[in-house]
Amino acid sequence: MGRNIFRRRKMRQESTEGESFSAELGTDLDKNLQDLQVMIGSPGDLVIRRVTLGVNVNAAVAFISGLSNKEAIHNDLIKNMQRNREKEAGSDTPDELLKQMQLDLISIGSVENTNSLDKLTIDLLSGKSVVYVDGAAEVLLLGTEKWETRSIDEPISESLIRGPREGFVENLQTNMMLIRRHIRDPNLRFDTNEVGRRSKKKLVVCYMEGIANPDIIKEVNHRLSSIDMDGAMESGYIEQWIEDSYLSPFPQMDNTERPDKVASSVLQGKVGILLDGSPFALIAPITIANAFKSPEDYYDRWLIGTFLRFIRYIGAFITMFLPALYIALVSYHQGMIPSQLAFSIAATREGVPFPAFVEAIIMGITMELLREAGARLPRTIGQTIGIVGGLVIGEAAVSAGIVSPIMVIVVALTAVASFTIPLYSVAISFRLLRFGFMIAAAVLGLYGIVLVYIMINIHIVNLKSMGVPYSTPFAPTFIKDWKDLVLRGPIPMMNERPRNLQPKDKRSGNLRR
Amino acid sequence: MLLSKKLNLLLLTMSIFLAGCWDRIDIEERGFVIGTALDLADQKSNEDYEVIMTNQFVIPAGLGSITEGSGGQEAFMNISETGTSLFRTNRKFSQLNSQVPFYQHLKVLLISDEVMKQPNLFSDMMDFYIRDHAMRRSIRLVVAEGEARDILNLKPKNVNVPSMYLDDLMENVDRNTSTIKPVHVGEVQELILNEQSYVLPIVKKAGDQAEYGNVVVINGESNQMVGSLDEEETAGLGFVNGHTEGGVLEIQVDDDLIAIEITEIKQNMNIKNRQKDQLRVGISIDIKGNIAEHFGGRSVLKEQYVNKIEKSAEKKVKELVGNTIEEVQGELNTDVLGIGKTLYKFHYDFWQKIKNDWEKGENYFSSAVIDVNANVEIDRVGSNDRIKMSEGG
Amino acid sequence: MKDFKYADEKISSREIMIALPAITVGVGILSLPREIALLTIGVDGWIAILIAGAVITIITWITAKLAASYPGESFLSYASKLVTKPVAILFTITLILQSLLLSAYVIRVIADIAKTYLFDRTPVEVVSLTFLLVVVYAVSGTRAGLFRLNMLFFPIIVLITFALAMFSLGWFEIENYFPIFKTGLMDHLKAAELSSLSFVGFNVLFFYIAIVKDTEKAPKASIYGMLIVVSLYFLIFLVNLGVFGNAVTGNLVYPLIELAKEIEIPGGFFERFDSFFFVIWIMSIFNTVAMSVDVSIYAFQSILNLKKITYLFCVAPIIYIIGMVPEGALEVGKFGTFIGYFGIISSSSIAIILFTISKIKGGRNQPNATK
Repeated sequence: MGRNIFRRRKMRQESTEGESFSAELGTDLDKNLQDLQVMIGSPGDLVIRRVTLGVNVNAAVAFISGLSNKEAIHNDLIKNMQRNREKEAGSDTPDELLKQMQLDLISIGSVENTNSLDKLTIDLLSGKSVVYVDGAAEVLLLGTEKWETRSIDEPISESLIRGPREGFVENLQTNMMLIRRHIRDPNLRFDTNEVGRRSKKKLVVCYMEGIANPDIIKEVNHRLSSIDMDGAMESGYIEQWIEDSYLSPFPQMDNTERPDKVASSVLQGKVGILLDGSPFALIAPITIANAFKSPEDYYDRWLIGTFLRFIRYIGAFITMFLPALYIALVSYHQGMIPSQLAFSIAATREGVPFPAFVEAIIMGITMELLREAGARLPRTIGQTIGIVGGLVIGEAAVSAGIVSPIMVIVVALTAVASFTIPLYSVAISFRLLRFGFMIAAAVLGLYGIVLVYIMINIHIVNLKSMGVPYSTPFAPTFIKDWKDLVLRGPIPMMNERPRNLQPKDKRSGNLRR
Repeated sequence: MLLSKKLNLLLLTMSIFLAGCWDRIDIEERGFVIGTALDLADQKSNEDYEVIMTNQFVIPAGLGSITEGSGGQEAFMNISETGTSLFRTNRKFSQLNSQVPFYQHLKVLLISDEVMKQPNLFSDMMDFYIRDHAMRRSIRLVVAEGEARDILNLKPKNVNVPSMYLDDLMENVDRNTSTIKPVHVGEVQELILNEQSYVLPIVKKAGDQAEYGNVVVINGESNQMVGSLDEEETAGLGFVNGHTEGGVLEIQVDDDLIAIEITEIKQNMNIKNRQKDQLRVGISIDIKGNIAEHFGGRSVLKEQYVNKIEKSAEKKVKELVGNTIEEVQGELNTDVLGIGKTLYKFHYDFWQKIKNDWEKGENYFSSAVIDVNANVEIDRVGSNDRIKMSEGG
Repeated sequence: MKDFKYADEKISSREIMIALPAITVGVGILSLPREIALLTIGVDGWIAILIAGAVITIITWITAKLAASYPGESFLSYASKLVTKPVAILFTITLILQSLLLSAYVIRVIADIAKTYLFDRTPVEVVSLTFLLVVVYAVSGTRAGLFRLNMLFFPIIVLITFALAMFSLGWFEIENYFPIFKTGLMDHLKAAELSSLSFVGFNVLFFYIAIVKDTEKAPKASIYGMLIVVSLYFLIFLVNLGVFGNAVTGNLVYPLIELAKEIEIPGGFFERFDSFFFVIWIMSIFNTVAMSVDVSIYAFQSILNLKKITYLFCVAPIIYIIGMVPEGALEVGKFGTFIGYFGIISSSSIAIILFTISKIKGGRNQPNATK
C-alpha cells in the first residue's frame, strides 16, 4: 500500500518541468557578471574581485564571503594571478589562458570548468569560487569551500559507557571522513546525490560494494531519485519520504549520530544515508530486532551484551504492557492477582474516584507531559523539572486520592523501562502503542490486550523496510541470525553476516569454531 | 485497498468502543469472599435441605498496610443467608451487601458435621464449587465440629481474618501425626467421581483459637459422614495412606520416654491373593526419623540401643495402624485405607468382580486380612548424646 | 519494485511445517482429553491419539505428495486434470465450505470459552466480532504475512504448553495412570475416531503447496508438521491424565484450561493461570481461523477471480452469522462434531481419490506429469 503511494509520487515528479533559467555563459565578462548578479540578486555576501591578467585581459573572481576560504583565495589564487603576468601573456586566446591558469598558476586542489550558469550558481552558493576571463565561454570553479562548523563532539542522543566518543557533525565532508576512518576499504562507496529543488543539498549513500545486496542499493537509489521537495532540513525528511509505510507506528530506518554504528551496519551489508547539514545518518534496512540493539552490546563482552539485550526486551515488554495489564487485572481479572496483593490494592484504591483506566491515563499523560517539558527546556532545568515534577506530582496525587500508590509505581516503572530501548524512535512508538493497549484493556480486559497484540504482530509481518520484511529474523526465520538477536554471541563466533540482508559476501571471517 | 484498510480499522475501533465494558468492576467494588461456612438450617422443607451459607468478606482497609495501622477497623465481615441451592443463596448476598461476592480468592470452605451427616448433601453442594469457574480448585475443605459459622467468628490475636488464620493453620501439617494434608475441592471431585471413601480434616473451636486435627470418615457411596477417628487413629491412618507428612512418635523404651520426629514416611500396599472373601493385603511402612527428645541417661550413640528404639517404634507404629484398621474395618466399615483404589488400579478385573460387594453386601472389605509391616530407621540423634550420665547405658 | 527473494509471496517448506500445526492446534485439543478419557480406562487414551495421529499423518502425506507432484499448479488445475473440471470445482467448494464452517465454529467456541473464563456479562456476539475483525485485518494483508504470523505465534504456544507441563509436575501422580491396557478394542477405535476430529486442518495443503518454493521437500515437511501436532496432543493428554486422573478429566468441559487452573506457578505474579493460559492460547486459535479464511479465499479465487477484499467483506458476515446460529453449549458441541466429521471425511476422501487416480494416470503419462 505504501508502495502504491510511492509510485504515485514518482510519477508526479516525472511530469514536472525543470526551471528555465539555464543560460549558457557568454564570452563577455561584464555580461556574465551581470547575469550572475541578476540570478542570485546581488546579495551582500557576494564578492566580485576584478583582476587584470597578462596583457590587459580582464578577469574576475567571484565568491560568497561566508562560505569560502578567503585566505586560499587571496594567497593561492589572486596573488598567483597578479604575479605571473609574463606567463599569462604567453597565451594567445582567453581559452588558452584559462587552461594555462588551471594547469600552471592556481594552487588550489579542486578545479573544474563549466559553461553553465546554473552549475556555476549552485557551486558558488555551496562555497566554490569562480574565475571569469573575458572572452572565454567557460569559467573555472575552484574548491575553496570553508565555513564555520561545530567541532566533533560526543553524540548527545546516544551516549555510551564504552565506545568511541565522536559523533557526526553538520558537515558532510567531516561525516564521510569519520566513516572512512573506520573502514579503509577501496570498496566503501559514497554515491553522491543532490536533494531538494531549492536546497540542493548533497546526500551521500554509503555502502560496501560486494557486501551489500545490489537489490537493496538499487531500491534505495530508486527511492531517493523520487524525492521531490523544496528542501530537506534534516535526514528525517529523507526518511519519511523513502520509508515503506507512513501509516506504521514503527520507524523503518534507523537514525544515528554514531559513525561507528554506521560503519558496522555498512559492514553487515546495510546502506547508510548521510545528508549535508544533518548530524543524523540513516541506516536501512532495519528489522524489529534492531530496536533492541545498541553498539555497546558489541563493545562489552558477550555475556554482558546478552544480558543487556535481555533487559531491553523486558523493558520493551513493561513499556507496552504493564499499564494495560494493571488495568485488565484491576478492572477485570482480580482473581489473577495474588490474594494478599489484591486486598492491598483494593485497600489503596478505596478512596480513588476514577476507574483504573482513567487513573492510568491521567498518570500516563502526566508522565508524557513531564518528559516533553524536560526535553524542551534547557538541559539543566529539564532534569530538575523531571525529578521535581515526578516526585511532587506523584506524591501529591496519591495523597489527594486521585491515584493509588500502586499506579504510581506502575507508571514510574513504565517510564524507566521505556528509556532502556536504545532506538529513540522505536521507544516513542512503543509508548504510543501503550495507550492502545490501555484502551483495549479497559474495554475487553486481557482479551483486548491479546487482540491488540495480535494486530500489532499482523502489522509487523506485513511491514517491510527497503523490501526486507520487518519481522526477520524471527519470521521469515533465519536461525543463523539468532546468534545476534536476543543472544549476542561471542565475537569470534559471529563470522557470518546477517542472512536476512542477503549479502553478496556471506562470511565476515573464515575462522570456524 | 488503502481505503478499505482504513475502514477496517475504523470499524474495529468503533465496535470496541461501542462494545465497552460490560464486565468492568473495579477491584475496590468487589466483595472478596475468603472463607465460606455451610451449616444446616433447622427446618427441612420437603426433601430439600435448607443450608445456611456464611460468607466471610475481607474488608481491605481493615487489613492495614505496613505504614499505617488498621485504625481499629475490623478486617472482615460475616454475612449469612439461607437457601436450598447455593447459587441462588449466593445471589441473595447482593441484597444484603453493597459489594457483590467475588469467589476467586476463596480459600477455605468450612462444612459443619451436621451437613456431612446427611446422605449426598455434601457432594451436591460440592457441585457449585466445582462447576463455577470462579472457584479455585485449591479451595481447602475442612469439616467443622458444631456450627461452622462460629469458627469464622474466631478472633485470634495475630491474624486479622479468621479464614486466613485457618488457611495458615492448615499449612502446619508436618508437625503432628494427627493433622492431615489439607484436602482441596479438586481432589474431592476425584474422590466423589470414583465413589471412593475418604477422610476430611476437622477443625473445632478452642477458645479464641481453632484446633485443627483428626478426621471424619466419609463413605464414598452415600457421601455421608459415618464417623470420626481420634488422634491415634488418625495417626495410624496417616501412616497407611500418606495423609500425614510428619509428626512426632512417642515411645517408651525401658521406661524412658523418647520422642521421635518423623521426617519421612513411605508406604507400600500390595495385594497378596485374590480370594474374594479372604483377601490378604500387605502394607509396609517405612519411616525415617530423628530423636528429638530423650529422657533418661542412656547413650543414643550405641547401635544396640538405637536398634532397640527402632524396634519399639516399629511396634508402636504397628499398634497405631492396627487400631485404625480395626476401627475402619469394624465399626465404620469404610475403606479409607485405599485398598479399593489399589485394587482398581492394579487388579482392575478382580476389582470389577468385587466392587459391588466391597463396603456393602458381602462386605469383602471387612473380611480382608491386612498385614502391617513397619520399619523405622533413626537418621540423626540431634546435637547432644545424653543430658545426664547414668548407669546401664 | 523488485522485492527480496524471501520477501515475496512464495513460502518455504519450513513454513508449511509450522503452518500445519499452527492451523490444526486450536480449540479441539482444549476438550479432547475429556472426550478420550470418557471412552477409555486409565491412561489408555494415548493409544487412540497415536492411532488417529498415525492415520492422519498418512493422509497428510498423501495430500502433500499429491499436491507436490504438480508443482506450482493450483488445486483446481491439477484436480481438473484428474477428475474433470466440474468435479474439481465441486471438490474445491467442499473444501471452501469446510474452511468456512470451521472458522465459524471456532469463533463461536472462542467466545463461549472466553465467557466462561474471562467474562461474565460481555455478550458472545461482541467477543466473536472483535476476534473476527482482527482475523479480517490479518487476512487482508499478505499471505506470506500470515505464514510469518504462524512462525511468530506457534513457538509461543509450544512454549506455554511446555511451561504448563513443567508446572504441573508438582500435581502429577503416576498412580493416576492406572489401570493400564484395560480398554476394549471398540472403545479404542471409537476414541481414535473422536480424536481424529481434532486433527482437522490439513486440507490447507491442497492449496498452499502450490506456493511452496521447494516443493519436493513439502511432503516431508508436512509429515514433520503433523508429528508436531501428534506429540503436542500426546503430551497434553498425558499431563492431563497424570494430574487429574481419568474420572476428573472425563468430567471437565475443558480439561486443558482446568489444568492451568489447578496448578499454581511457584512464586508467581499471577494466580489463576487459566485465564492467562487461555489468553495466550487465543493466538493459536487465531492462526487456525486466519489460515482457514485465507485458504478459502485462495481456493475461491481459483474458481472466480474476485478481489481479496471484496471476497473478505462478503464472507466475513457469513462466517459470523453461521457462528452465531447454534444456541447453547450442546448445539455448539454438535456443530463441532459435525464439522469434525465433515472436515475429516471430505478432505481425506478427496485426498485419497485424487491420489489414487493420479497414481493410475501417472503410470501412463509420467513424462508429462512431472517435468
